Amino acid sequence: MLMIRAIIRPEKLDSVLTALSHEGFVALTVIDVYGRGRQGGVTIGEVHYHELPKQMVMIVVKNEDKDKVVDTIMRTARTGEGHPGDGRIFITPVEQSIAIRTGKSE
Amino acid sequence: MKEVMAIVRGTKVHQTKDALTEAGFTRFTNMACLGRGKQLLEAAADKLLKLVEEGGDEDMMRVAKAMVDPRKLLPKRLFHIMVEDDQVQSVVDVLIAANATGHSGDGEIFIIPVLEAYSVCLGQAYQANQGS
Repeated sequence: MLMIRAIIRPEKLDSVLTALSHEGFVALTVIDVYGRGRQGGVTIGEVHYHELPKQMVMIVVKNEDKDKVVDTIMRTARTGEGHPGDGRIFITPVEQSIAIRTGKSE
Repeated sequence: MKEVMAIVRGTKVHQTKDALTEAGFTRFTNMACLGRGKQLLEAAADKLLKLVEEGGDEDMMRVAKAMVDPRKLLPKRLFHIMVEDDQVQSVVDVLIAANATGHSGDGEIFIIPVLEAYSVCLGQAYQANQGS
């Protein structure tokens, strides 16, 4: 099992969630986060914003579903205008996933 | 070392904290999050189908449609608990005992390997089962 953590633009959250559910991935967690990428925030006029609001989508999938989820997120979260700040996707291993209601691991 | 990541109901936060503390797991991090499980959409879709068949009234249809909306998420709480390998089972048992209600939406536990950990104040490698 793999945990996919995607940091995306807040305005792209709705389209990412819709696209994921169309692909059959309905179970996920969303966390409000603040962060910055390679460009180190943005400067607008005289004000420099060190960190920008983002949304982190956390989803645990079977190894074989990884590519499908990553493709879906990349396709929907990209602005396509070449601007930095579209986000990142990180993939980490998950040893076990247990449903609290049943106590059974998948 | 392992990271035990648990997503629980907002109403179970205090119970979870008390149960963890009682069992000796005093160190954890938790944060508010939004989420959804597998059951919600399935249940809502069934309900919507039934309503359509029965020709249900407009208000109910609106509610059912909102429930099937993939953008609708429920407030949850996310716990991160770092434990040594041999403590994983006991912390999982504590979390299940405190949070299982038998209804869907109870949450999920994920076990994730941790490669290295350090204690900032001691400036050395961190061990989750040691006193300090």
